[in-house]
This record gives sequence, structure tokens and C-alpha cells, in this order.
Amino acid sequence: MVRIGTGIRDIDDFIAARGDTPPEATDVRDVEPDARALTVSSMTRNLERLAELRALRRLAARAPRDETLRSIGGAVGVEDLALFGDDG
Amino acid sequence: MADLVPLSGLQKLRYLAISVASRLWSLDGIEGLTTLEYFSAWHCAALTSVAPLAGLRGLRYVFLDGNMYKPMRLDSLAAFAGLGDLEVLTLHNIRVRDRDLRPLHGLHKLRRLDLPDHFPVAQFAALAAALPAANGRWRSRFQSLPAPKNSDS
Repeated sequence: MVRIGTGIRDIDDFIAARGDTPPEATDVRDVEPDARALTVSSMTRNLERLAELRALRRLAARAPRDETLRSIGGAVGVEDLALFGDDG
Repeated sequence: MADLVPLSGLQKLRYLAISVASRLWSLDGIEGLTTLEYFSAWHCAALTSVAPLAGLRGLRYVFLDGNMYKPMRLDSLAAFAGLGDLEVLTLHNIRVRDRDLRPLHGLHKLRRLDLPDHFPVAQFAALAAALPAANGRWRSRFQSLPAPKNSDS
């Protein structure tokens, strides 16, 4: 579990209130179809299948590349999205 | 990640937090996310405009931050003028070229406002009068500044 800290009180309070980041997936094919929260990265396999996870509401992405963002854009039910870092 | 265009189909998005995106130079794509209530861009110093936020009338929390060594440089705060539901606005490590706080005067729901120091004292004074309920360190800084000398005396 990772929780970022910005040093800015209002932001950190808000982040803390939301809890830890969701569990990380190594392959979207292995994720339960009713999963509501997930963390992915550019290393996660089959990201294009995010669009099939109809129950997904919360998503975090580490170091998302452009193609990662395109896959995230297909997860149209997501209400809560956190993007950490760029692709360096 | 140069812009947010790939996310423009996320029509249910309420919360978007972006952290440490040194190559994010545009918020293009966010303008269609009209359900957004929270937006933060932390350590995103390459951003030069927040104009795409202007139509997101449901925003209640906005946090913007460049970084300690390279501030985010915005032309103006005009994009915030119509965001009347904003309750919290934090501008951290930000420089605003026109040094004009008037776009914030109508944000009467603001209860928390954090601003950089780089605005004229008169701008802070006018804002304090316009937003008596908006708390933040900017207000104590303004109040602790020496009163301007009266040029007639």
C-alpha cells in the first residue's frame, strides 16, 4: 500500500480521507470482473481490457504512458482516477 | 503524458488527481469532464494554462502546484471566475503573470484559499473584502503587512 504526501495540508487531508491506493494488477485478465478498485502501471498486461471491467469505479495508475491513458479512457465507469508520475 | 485528451470519455469522473507529471503541458481533454468535483495537479510545473477548467462548474476542490524549483506559470486566474461552487482552492508554487486576483472575487462558497505571495497588496485587500469567509494564510500575510504610507501626509 502506498500513500503519497504532498506536504500541503488540504491535499494530504483529502488523500488520507480516501484511504490507501487499491491493489495492483499485473494482468487485467486476472482481475475479478466485479472489481471496483484497481491500480495499474505501464507494466500491467492487457490494459485494453480495462473497458470490460464494468464495475470499476476507482483506478490508480503509476507512470502512465500514452497508451496506458488510452486504455484508461475506455474504462468509462470510473469515477475516481489518480495518476502518479509520468513515463520519465 | 502531454495532455488529457485520452481521458475525455470518462463521463462519470468525479475525482482526478495527477501527481509528478513533469511533461503534462496541457489540460486539453478535461473540459468535457463535466461531472468533475475534485481536481489536483501536484508537481506539474509544465502546465501554463488552466483555461480548460473554466467550464467545469461542478468543481468544488482544486489544487495546483508547480514545484519548489520550477513554479507553474499561468497567464491569469480567469478560468476560475465562473466556478461558483469552489469551496477549496490551493495555488502552490504558482506564478500568475497578470497578478490579478479579481477573477476570484465572485467565488463566495470558498472557505479555504491558499495563494502565493506574488500579488500586489491592493489585490489582496480587495480580495479580503470580496471574500470575508475565505480563510488561508494569504489573509494573515495581508493583515500583517505594514499599512501603505499615505502619500498626502
